[in-house]
Amino acid sequence: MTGEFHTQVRIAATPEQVFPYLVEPDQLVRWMGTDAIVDPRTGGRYDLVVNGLGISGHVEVYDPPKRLVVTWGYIDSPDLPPGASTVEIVLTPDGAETIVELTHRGLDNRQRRDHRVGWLHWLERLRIAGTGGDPGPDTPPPPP
Amino acid sequence: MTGTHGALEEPPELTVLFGALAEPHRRQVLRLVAAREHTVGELVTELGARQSAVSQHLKVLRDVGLVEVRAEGNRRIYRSRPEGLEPFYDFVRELWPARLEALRDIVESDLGRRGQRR
Repeated sequence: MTGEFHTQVRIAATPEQVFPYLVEPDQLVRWMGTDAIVDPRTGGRYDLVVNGLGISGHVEVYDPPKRLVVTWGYIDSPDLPPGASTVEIVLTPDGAETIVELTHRGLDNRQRRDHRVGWLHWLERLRIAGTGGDPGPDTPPPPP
Repeated sequence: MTGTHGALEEPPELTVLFGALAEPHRRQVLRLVAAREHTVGELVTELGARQSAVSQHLKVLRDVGLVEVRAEGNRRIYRSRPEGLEPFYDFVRELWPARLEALRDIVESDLGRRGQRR
């Protein structure tokens, strides 16, 4: 078991066409989360509400249309707090298509023996998806 | 190999794990022992629950590997066992393929509407 997860998908579009969906809030929330605040520059904010839980991060690498690295952690989660992990998305053109590679690093629970199960909160939100059913749209964000 | 359609390809541990965590009082026991080690007596005091109920929750959490116990003299001390969460972390990882598929579908749909595809 490593703390790294990698997956990829092939999209019939150019990297220039895909990249805005990663950083423009209106486009981002169409495929992930319900609210987004993104300051598209290195060091800028990358905040999302996904499954009703706040993800607070910042942009580590902003290199459109090729690469985006953001920190990924949950507000009030001692287990996976803001800054605890990173998500890297690399867009590579392949003919008329783009290979989208995603690597989530830092998802290694063993590194955090003293965690405090903040994850239980979002586990409950994710349970519907975990049963293999359709989770439907994300729940509305909690009050700030 | 996203396993989001067709036969359900979940590790059985995940079902056991979700089952153990479905009970809110049991989650509260887990929160407490994850914050720091506790004896049964300390948990009973903090939760204001019956000892039999607390012991039953601890048994379930131990059976699924979320909690472990160690002896210190006559005392039995309970603590969380983060390795027990690995199936859950696997589950989190598995969400990404579905998200990327959603991204693909939206981008390609948008381009189709703009007449750049099909």
